[in-house]
Amino acid sequence: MLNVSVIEKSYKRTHFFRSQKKPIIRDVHFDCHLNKTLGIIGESGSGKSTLARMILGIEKPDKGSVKLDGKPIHRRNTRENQISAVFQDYISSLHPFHTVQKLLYEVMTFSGEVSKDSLKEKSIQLLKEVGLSAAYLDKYPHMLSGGEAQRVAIARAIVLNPKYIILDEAISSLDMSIQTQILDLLIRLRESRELSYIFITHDIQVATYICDDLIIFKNGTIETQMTPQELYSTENTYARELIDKQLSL
Amino acid sequence: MSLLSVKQLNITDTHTHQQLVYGIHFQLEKGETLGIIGESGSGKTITCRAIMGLNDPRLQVEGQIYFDGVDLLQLPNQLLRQRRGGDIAMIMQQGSRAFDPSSKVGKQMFETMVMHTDLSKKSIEAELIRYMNFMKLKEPKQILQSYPHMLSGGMLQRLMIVLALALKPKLIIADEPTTALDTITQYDVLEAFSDIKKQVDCAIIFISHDLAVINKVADKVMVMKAGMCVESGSIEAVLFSPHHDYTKYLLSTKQKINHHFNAVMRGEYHA
Repeated sequence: MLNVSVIEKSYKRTHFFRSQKKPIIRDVHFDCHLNKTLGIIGESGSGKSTLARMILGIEKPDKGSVKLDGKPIHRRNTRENQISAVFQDYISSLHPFHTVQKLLYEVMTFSGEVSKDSLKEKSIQLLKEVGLSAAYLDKYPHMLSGGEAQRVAIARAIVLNPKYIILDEAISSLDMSIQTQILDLLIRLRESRELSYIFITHDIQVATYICDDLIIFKNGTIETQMTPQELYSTENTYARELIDKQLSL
Repeated sequence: MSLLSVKQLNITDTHTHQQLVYGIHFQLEKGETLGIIGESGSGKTITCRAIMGLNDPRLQVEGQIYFDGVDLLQLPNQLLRQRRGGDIAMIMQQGSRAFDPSSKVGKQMFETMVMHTDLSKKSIEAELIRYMNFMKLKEPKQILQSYPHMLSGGMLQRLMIVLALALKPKLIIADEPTTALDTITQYDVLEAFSDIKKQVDCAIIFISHDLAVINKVADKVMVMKAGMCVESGSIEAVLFSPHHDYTKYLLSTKQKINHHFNAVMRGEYHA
C-alpha cells in the first residue's frame, strides 16, 4: 500500500535580497490501495504536480513522508520497478533522437530483467498491449501523433510491471476523440495487469469516468475526499462549484 | 461587405510539397463568432495563422484573405504588422509561452499597447486595469509588476485576452484558449468571451477540439479534417443535426464520458 502523509512542502522564493518560504502543500494524508484508481482533481497551481513528484520520490517533503509498503519512497530500492509515471507533455517525455525501440530497450536493459534475446519480442508484445503495431518500433517521436506518443509513454511505463502508475494530466493535451481511447486503454490495462493508478487531472468529468476514489485538491491541501458516486450528494462548496461549472459547459 | 472573407485558401509545405490546407472558404461578419473544430493536424491553426501572416516561410499560402476589403496576402510585411495586434489580435493556446519569461507582464503589455495605440502611459495603465477588472483579475497593479512564472496558467491566459481587448481589434483569433485550463478557469474564460460578444463589437474566430466549448461561444461552426472543411453552418445545424460522418464521429467521442458523468450527477450510480 502507498501511504502519503505530507505535513508540509515549501519552496524558497527570492525577491531581490529577501527570500521567503512559500508552503505549496500542507497536511495531505491519504492511502492508495492496490488495484484501485485514485483521482486527484484540482486547479492549475494547486500543488498537484508537486505532490506527484513527491509520490515518485523525486522530491522529499519538508515534514512528513511518502511510504510504499512501510518503506520511504525516496530510497531508490523502495521505488525501483514499483512505481512509474506518464506525464502530460508527451513530446518532451520521449527522447527526440531515440526510436520507439530504443526508448523501450533502454528501460528493459537498465533494469536487467529482460534478456537481450527477448528485447524485441517483449517490445512488440508491449506495443500490441497499448494498441500499436510492430511497425512503430522504428519510428521516432516526431513521426508519432499525440495519441500514439502517449501510447508509447504508457508502454514504457508498464515495461517493468509496476504496481503503481502516476498519470499526471496524461490525457489533458490530447484531442477529445483520443482522450476516450486512451482512457479505455488505461482501464483495460488496469484490469489485465492489476495496476493501481494515481490519476491527476483538472477534469472532474474524466476523473469520474476512471477513478474509484476522488481527492479534491485546493491551495495545496485536501478540500474533500469521496467516491465518484458521492459527488451527486456532496455539500462541499468547492466540489459543487466544480460540478456546476462542468455541467454548464 | 463581410469583415473577413477567406476564399480558396490553400497552404503547401514547400519542403515536402505536401498540401496541408485545401480550398478553405468562409466569411465572418462584425460581432459574429466562428468556431473551428478539428483534431490535431487538421489545419485549424495554420489556417488562422495564415490570416495573421504568422506561418513559417516554408508554408506557401495561396488564395484570398480579404479583411475590411483589403487582401492581406498582398500586403507588404510592414503594413501587415500594423494590422496584426491593432486590427487583428491573437490569443495563443499557452499563456506561459506567449510571454517573455525574463520581463514583467506589465512591461510587455505596455510595449504592445504603445506600438498599436496613441494612448499616454497613464491611459494605457487605466485601460489595462479596466479590462483586468472586466476579466475578474484581482489586484491588477500587482499582476502588472509580476513576471510570467509568478502567475498561474489561467491568469496568463486571461492577461492575453485583456491585451487583445485593450487593443480594441476588429477581429480576435483565439487558438484553443481554454484547452490547458482547469474546469473553473475554463468556465470563467468562456464567460468572459460571452461578455466580450455582448460588450465589444468585434468578430471572433475560436479554435477548439472541444465541442462543448464551441457550443457555448460560437454562432456558426466549421469542421476541419485533414486540411479540408467537411461541414459548416450554424451551431444548431452542425452540432445538433450533423450530416457528415466525421462530425458525427467527433460528437460521439466524448458522449461516453459525458453520459457517465451526467448519470452520476443524476444519482443513477449510488454509493
